[in-house]
Amino acid sequence: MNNTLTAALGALRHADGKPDVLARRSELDDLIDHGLSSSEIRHLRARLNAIGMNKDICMHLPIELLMCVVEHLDLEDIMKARSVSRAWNERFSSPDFCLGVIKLHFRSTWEASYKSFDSEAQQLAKMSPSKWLPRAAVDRFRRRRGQYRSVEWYFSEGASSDDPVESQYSHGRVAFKIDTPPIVVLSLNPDASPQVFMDPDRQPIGPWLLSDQFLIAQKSHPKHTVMAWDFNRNYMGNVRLPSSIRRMSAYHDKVGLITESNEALVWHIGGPLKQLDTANVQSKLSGFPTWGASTILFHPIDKETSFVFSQAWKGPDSGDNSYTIRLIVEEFTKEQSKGIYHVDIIHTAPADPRRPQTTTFDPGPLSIVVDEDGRCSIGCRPRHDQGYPGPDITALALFDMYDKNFDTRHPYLPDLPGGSMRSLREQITDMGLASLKIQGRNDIDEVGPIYTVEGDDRFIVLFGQLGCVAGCFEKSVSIPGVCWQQSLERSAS
Amino acid sequence: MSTEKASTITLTSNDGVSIEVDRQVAERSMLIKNMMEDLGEGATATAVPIPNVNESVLKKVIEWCEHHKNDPQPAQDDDSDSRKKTTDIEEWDQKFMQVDQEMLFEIILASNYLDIKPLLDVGCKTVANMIKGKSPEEIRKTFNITNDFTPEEEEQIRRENEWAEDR
Repeated sequence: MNNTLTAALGALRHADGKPDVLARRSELDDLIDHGLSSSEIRHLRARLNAIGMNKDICMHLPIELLMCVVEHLDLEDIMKARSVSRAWNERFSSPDFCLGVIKLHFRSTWEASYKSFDSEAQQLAKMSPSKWLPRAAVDRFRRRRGQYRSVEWYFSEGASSDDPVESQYSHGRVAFKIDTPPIVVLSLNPDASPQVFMDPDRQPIGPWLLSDQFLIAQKSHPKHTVMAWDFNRNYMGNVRLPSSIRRMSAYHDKVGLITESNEALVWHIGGPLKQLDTANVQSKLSGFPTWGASTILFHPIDKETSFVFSQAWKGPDSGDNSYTIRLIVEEFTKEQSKGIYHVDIIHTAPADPRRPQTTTFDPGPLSIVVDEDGRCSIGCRPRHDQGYPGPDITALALFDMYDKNFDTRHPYLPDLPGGSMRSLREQITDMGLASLKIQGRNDIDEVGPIYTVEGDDRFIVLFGQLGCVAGCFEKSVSIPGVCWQQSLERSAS
Repeated sequence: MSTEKASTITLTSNDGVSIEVDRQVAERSMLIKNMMEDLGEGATATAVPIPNVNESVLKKVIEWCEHHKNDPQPAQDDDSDSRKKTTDIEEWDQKFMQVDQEMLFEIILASNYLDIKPLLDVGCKTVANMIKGKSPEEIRKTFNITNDFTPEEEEQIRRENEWAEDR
C-alpha cells in the first residue's frame, strides 16, 4: 500500500485508459466536502498556496518591499528566517537587508554609525552591518529572556528595611549612600576596587546622581552647590546654584537642573552654569492656571540638543468634569530655543452627582524614562483628593527625540512594585519582574523586597531593601563577591 | 451625460483587457488619483493603461478598492506608524488575502506600483504572518521551500541561533 487515495484517483479512467477528469474532480469535491477535517483543509490550503510559484515571495520581492514585510516582524523572527534555506540565509544576511533591520530595531546605532556613511565606508570602517547585527541581536535576546550568565551579591549591611538604601546603577557601576557622607561607587568588574566620594568640606551631601561618566551631588551648606567627580576620584569642580534643585539629570559632561522655582539650568561640568530661557512656554499656557518644569533631557547622539519637559494642568472643568494635563517639550540647541511641542491628555469623570468633587489636582513632576533609541516614556503620579477619575500612576505619552513628536496611543508604564521608574530601560520592562530569572540563583529574596530594577546592555541590577543583585551577560566576566561593608574597609586601607 | 462619464474610468490591464471602474474606487490608487488631477476632466474619456498588472490581478485589486472605497484616505506622511509592529488584519481583508502565493506576490507588486498604501500594508502583513512565530520547518512548508543546508551548515546555524532555544 503506497498511497490508497492516490491509487483510487489513479483508477478513475475512461475505457481508453485516459484519466476521467470529471470523475476525479467530483471525487476530490466529495473529499473536501465530506472526507476532510477542517484542520486537514487548512493544511491543504497552505500546501496549495505554496505550489503557485516556483520560488517563494521573500526571494522575489524587491528589497524595499521585503522591508515592508519585515517591518511587521519581531527581531527574533527576522534572525530565525536565516535558518530556512541557503537562499533565505543569503538574502536575510545581505548588507542592505541588515542595514534595514538596524534602522528598524537599533535606531541609535543607525543614527550614530550608519546613517551618514555609504555602504563602502561602512565596510572600510569594519562596521559591516552583516557582522554587527547578529551579535547585537543575540545580546538583545539574552537580555529579553533574562539569560544572565554570572551574578554576584552586594549587601548593604546595616540598612534597615524601613529605610531603603539610596542606590543607583549607571553604565557598569553601582553607587550607594547610606549615611552622609560618603557615597560608595562600585564598578561591576573583577579588578576594580570600590571608591568613596565625599564633599571636600565634609558637608552632608544632598540629592546625588550617578551618570555615565561622573558622580554628581548637591550640598546646601554653606550655599546651594552642585559638584562633580570623575571615576578616578578627581574632583571636577562645583558651581553655585541660585536655589535648591528639584530634579537633576546628566548625560556625558552635561548636567540638567530644574530649580524649585522652575528655572532650567545646564551645567557643562567644569564650565559655568547656563540658563535655558523657557519664556516660549508661555505661548502654550493660555487656559492653564498652573505649570511646572520637570526635567531636562539630552539627545542621545546630538550633543548640542537638549529638551526641557514641563507640564501644565487644569481641572476639574465644571462643564464636563474633565482634567487636562498638557505635556510641553521645548527643544534647545546650545542655549537657543529651537522648537516647542505639546500634547494634551484629558481624563473625564463620569457624570455622577453623588461623586465627590475633586478640588485639588496636580499631576506632580513627570517621571520620564529614556530608552537607548531616544524614546521618552512619560508618566506621572497625580496628587489629588477624592473624585479624580484617572489611575494613581499613569502613563501619559511617548516623546520621540528624533522625530520630535508625541505618541499617546502606545504609552507604556513600567509595572513595578512601588512604581519606580528611574532610568528603567525598555528591555527590562519587556521582561517584567515576575519572569526574571538569573541563572544559577534562586535566592534573590535575600536582598529583601526589590524596589527598583536598572540595567543596560551589559548588566542588570536588582535593588532590594537590603542590598542589590547584579547580573551580566558576558561569559568571561565574573564579579567578585564583595559586600559593601567590606568594600569600605578595603578602600580605607 | 458628462457627469456620468466623469464618474467612471476605464483601466486597461497589460494583457489588453479593459475594465470600467467608478472613479472613486479607482482613486484609492494614488497613482491614478494624481494622474486624474494632472490631466483634468478630459482624461476620463480615454482608457488608462496599467502596464504592470494583468487582468486577474487588476480585478482582484479593484475588488479590494471597491470594498474600501469609503475608508478615509491615509495620511500622506504616515512614517510615524512604521515602527508599530502589529499584524492585525481585519476579517474581510484576511479572507480577501486567502490566495495562492503567486497572487499574493502580484497583489503586493501591483499595490506598490499603483500606490495603494493600505493594500500594500495588508499584503505585507499577510506575508509577515506566514513567518511570524513559526519554526524554520513550518516556514519551509508554508513557502514550499526545500531545506538545502548540509548537516554541517545546519549545525553551524543551529549554534548561531542558540538563543532561540529556551534553556
